[in-house]
Amino acid sequence: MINVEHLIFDYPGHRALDDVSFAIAPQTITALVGPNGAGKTTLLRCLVALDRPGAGRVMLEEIDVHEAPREAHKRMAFLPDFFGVYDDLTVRQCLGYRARAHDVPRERRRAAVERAAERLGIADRMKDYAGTLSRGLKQRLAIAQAIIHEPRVALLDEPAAGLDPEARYSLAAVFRELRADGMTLIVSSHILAELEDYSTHLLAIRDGRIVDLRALQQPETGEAAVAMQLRLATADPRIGALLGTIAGVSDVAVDTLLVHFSLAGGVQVQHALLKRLIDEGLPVAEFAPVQSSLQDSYLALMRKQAAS
Amino acid sequence: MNPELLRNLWLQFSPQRIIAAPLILGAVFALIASATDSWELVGRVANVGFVVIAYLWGTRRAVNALADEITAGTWDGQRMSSIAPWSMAWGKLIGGTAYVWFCALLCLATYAAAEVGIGRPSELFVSLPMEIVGALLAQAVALSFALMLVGKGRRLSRRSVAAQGTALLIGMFGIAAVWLPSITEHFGFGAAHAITWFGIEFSADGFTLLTQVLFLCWAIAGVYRLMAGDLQVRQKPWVWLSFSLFLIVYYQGFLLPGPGAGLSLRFFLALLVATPLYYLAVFAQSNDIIRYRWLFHHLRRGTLRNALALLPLWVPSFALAAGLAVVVAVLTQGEVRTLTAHEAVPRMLIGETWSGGVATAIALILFMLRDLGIVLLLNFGKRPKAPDLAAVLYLIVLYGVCGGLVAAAGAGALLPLFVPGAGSNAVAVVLAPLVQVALVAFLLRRRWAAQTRALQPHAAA
Repeated sequence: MINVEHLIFDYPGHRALDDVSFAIAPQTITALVGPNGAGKTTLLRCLVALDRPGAGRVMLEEIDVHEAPREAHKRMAFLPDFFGVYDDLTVRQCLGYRARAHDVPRERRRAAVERAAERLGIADRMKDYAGTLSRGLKQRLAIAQAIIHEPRVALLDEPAAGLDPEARYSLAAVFRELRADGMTLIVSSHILAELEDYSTHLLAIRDGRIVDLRALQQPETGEAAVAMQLRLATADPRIGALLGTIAGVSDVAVDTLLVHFSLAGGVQVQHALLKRLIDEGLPVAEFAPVQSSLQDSYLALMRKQAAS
Repeated sequence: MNPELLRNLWLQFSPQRIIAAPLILGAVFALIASATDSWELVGRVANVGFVVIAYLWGTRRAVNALADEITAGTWDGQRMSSIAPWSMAWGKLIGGTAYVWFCALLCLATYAAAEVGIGRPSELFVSLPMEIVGALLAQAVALSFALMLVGKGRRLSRRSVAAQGTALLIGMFGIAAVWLPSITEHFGFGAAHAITWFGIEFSADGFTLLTQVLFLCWAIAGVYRLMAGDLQVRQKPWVWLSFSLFLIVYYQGFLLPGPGAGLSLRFFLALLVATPLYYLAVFAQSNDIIRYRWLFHHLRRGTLRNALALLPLWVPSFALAAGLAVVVAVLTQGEVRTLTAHEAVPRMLIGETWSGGVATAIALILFMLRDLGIVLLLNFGKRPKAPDLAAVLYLIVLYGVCGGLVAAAGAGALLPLFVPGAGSNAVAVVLAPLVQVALVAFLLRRRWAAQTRALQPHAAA
């Protein structure tokens, strides 16, 4: 969907993006993370052709976005960190203007306005002036404006900044819906817990370089060892010894009711092990892979980068 | 309908505002009419009202059409839209000033009615188009000025733009009022009431209108070009080069045909136009080091298309001015007698206290390079603060203060250091700016190296 090749962007005395290359798959939500000053905003602005890099190129499907920015903008949406709405226009006028500005054909314009408002949950505010909306509703209006032309890709820079927890939660639902509708999203944010709710991929940037790009959900058919957690309803001294005899199990650590271990072999092996434990009469209350949080992954990654 | 125009109409034309303007203006004109019973005074006040509204408020609105977007954080949204540069340009120019024009045209209609009322309708045929085109020209220049500042990466605060815009307008009017008549009157090319241009005699009003229309076309072209640049459409220097040639041709029109208008004088006049344009080009664009770094990068790699898009406008302007200086220098060697027919202009090239034409031409080119070096040196700093303003001050000090002090002190031998071509010693005339160019180049090279070191090396690109 998006292919970035050897992107370099300089500010006087400082290289903001240093030979950045990566590819984003369609219908994914990529969390763009990195410390302050890592180059997240510069990267997003280069991706949508608001800033021109010194070298490299960004391909949106077959379009070179810096060679044909207006063509690319027909398929892209961008919500900047510091976004604005026209306070003296009504919500309907704001959306109507953006529909026209994005060349939405006249016969589809009204439907596009209604759909965008419906998607973002502001359909009941169409007659309100944008200046009278709360911060959360303005954010929704700004997103509705950005996606009114049904772009293939949407890039959002800190979209949840300044929102209360309820507004963040509903924003996450909006992003999931947009993805379900076929859109590809790249979302930059410092709030990792929020990104975790809806992101499918992690793109980490540090000092202008990409340090990681990976899918957040592990494929279920994988054979590699995964960290497992087992909780017993009552303490049972047999658990440690039993796990030690089973092929694929390693790194067993028993803490009364809680047991941690690694298990290689995939879900079929997990199923067989659980069946064996139950058959042996062990009082298993919980049995699941340990989900490392996005925050854990990010912090581990940044520590590793700092160490190297 | 142009979405940018439509949005501006939505924003500016509330029912209350539509009613308020005719009510207030109508009340003012009615008061004057009833108090003085003079249609002439009503017409005059309406005319002044038009000038104030269309020129002062209009230029302010034209600038704010962009400044408001940037301040409100909506400009990026507009840049992300599918609106083409041309639609955005005229949508902002006409849309941003739509309500201004509504009010201004009410004044103009009152003025026209008053002129008809006192039996002078014929004057309207000239004055109305002149005032309308003049206001459009001022607004287009104001918007292009705002776009130029945005292109230079400046923060577009309303106050600074208003101050600089006012200075620009005063400068424009100053040039129009002083420069043009001074040429026409001084050289006897035409009297104030009639102007001869390329052998055709125009009335002063007719010629001013023609000039306004021509310059309006260029101002709109400038707005379009700057807008396209900000919308990330690659720009090449052809429009600027065409404008430079247009200006040269425009001023050539004031030279009368005949033996007085020798080739050297024509080229000298062209040089007089090309040199300020070079300085305008130096200051009009961003001179940050990144631009030059990538320009050299693409030149080294032979990716000329990318290099051309990054080429500063001063490059073609420098080539034009330097070429003209050389041509003038060569021609003056053979046209000394012809040139003496116009003592005021060419004396500086051949007079007793001035060096020969070739040395002066070389000195002029070297001074242009030195000045460029100073501008770049200040712009290439680690954290440059108002580098262009600082450069202007340095140049004023070098040319005006130092040159004036040396002249006043009678130290003629030092004059070639500060005034191109001054002095009778051709070697000194060339050497003085050459040393300065070398010094500035040395400093520039050091600063370039320091800034380049700060950037991490990269393998790709």
